[in-house]
Amino acid sequence: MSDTTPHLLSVEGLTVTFPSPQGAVAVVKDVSFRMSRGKLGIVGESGSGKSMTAKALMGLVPPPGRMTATHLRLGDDDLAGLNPAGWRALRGRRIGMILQDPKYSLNPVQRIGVQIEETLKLHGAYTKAERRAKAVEVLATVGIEDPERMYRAFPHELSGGMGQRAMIAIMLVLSPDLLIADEPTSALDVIVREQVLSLIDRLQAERGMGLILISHDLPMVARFCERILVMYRGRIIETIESSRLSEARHPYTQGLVACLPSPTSRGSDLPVLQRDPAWEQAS
Amino acid sequence: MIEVRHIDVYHGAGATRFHAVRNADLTVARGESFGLVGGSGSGKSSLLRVLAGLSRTWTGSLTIAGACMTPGVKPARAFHKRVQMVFQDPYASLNPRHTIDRALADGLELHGFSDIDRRIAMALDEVGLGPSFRFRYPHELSGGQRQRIAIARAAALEPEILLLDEPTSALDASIQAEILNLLMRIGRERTLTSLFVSHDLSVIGHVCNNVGVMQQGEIVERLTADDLVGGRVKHDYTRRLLVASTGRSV
Repeated sequence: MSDTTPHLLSVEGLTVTFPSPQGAVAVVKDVSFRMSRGKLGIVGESGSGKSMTAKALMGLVPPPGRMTATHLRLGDDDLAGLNPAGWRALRGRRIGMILQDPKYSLNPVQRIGVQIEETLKLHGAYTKAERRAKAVEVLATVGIEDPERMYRAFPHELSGGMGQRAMIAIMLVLSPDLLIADEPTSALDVIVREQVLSLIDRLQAERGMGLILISHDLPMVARFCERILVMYRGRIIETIESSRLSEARHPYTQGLVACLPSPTSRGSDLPVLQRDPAWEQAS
Repeated sequence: MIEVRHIDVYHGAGATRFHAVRNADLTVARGESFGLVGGSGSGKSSLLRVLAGLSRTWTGSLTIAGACMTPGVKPARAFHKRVQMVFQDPYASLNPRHTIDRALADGLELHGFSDIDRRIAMALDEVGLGPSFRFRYPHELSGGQRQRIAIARAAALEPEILLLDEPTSALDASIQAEILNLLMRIGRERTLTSLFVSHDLSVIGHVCNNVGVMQQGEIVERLTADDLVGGRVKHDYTRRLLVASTGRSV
């Protein structure tokens, strides 16, 4: 990426620490990256700090955790020194986030329509009729055939895939600049997964927003995103173009690719990842 | 080893009764590893629970490990020694208040094994965990280690059939590789018959000999794993699953 392209998001030295009796423990260590309005993947295993990185970008690091960054900008805005009110003004309007399981992200006792309108109420001066029209419209954009019915539905009436579409609708109603999708399809069936991914793909292209897709599923992210950050124990250990995944240089990335069952691995043992303590050190 | 004939499984009763499995037929030979794939709600886990003797609301005929099962009748205790199951969520399948030692000892005692001490040590060794794990609690273990314990607990009873319900879905890819290697090694060393349920076609293609594809309660296609990985599939649903899980078109 050349330096002349305007960056949507630039992150430098992002660190998240949690206090412990033995001193502060860093779960995200000195993470730096830049992205434009494209598709960026973050891949890592459980505990690699990928979700905590996403939370930090939303200003949602749970206390007593602390987030620090030497430089954190979204467009022209500096996020590094934002106060809680500043973050609230930003979330939903400039940055949206989709989480793994719509069953837990949606409010079970509110109709979908009300939950979409809540974002509009918080961030804009819309009349009741305008809010409703906008909510129905965004439900139609996420590929729901009967948006009026969906508007009145409660989360328990929806399947996993439909719930995730409703979640995407809530996040997109204010056309954010950046959408963070943290394991958006892990709770879904493989076929529904493809449908939701192609929906996110279409919306990203149509709206020209930035997208960060976070997942443990390396092949899925590689199919979907242009560039991948590989995280290990809180650090980005490799940044790689998806098309050049087979040329990965870091042994951890190579190991992640190699340990997947494939037609050629049939009947033989899968290569097992040998973790090297040196990977945890900054290079 | 496993003979399933015209099995239907129902959940609930009356007007809300749900027909989870429709007229399922399958045969698994001794020493074979059979894979059952399908999307959520396709009935694969419902069918597996019938084979494990955990379901009562089914009809049809089932012979498993030489035992002829009757719908609605709880199988004898000895049946569970011969047919063991490993579940998806390693966090939910171990009692958090029992040590690993107790988790393994319970099954062995229940089925009348002698020299339990030695068997527990062997079982831990077989799954690659040392004796130091014996007196730990589940919360001190990672997901992969807990799944090893669940496999050790099942394998310690020297079953003839192992039923596996998405045993690696909750695990990271590198840990999945270790667990799959372990399962394949145990299968080889003991001529174990296994039935492996998963939604991941690449996992099924890796470990199984034959595969059944389920959609909305029906087994819509049966094929060999060679045909599956080679993309030689007939049913449209299998093709869609294959495209969705591997990303390559068939």
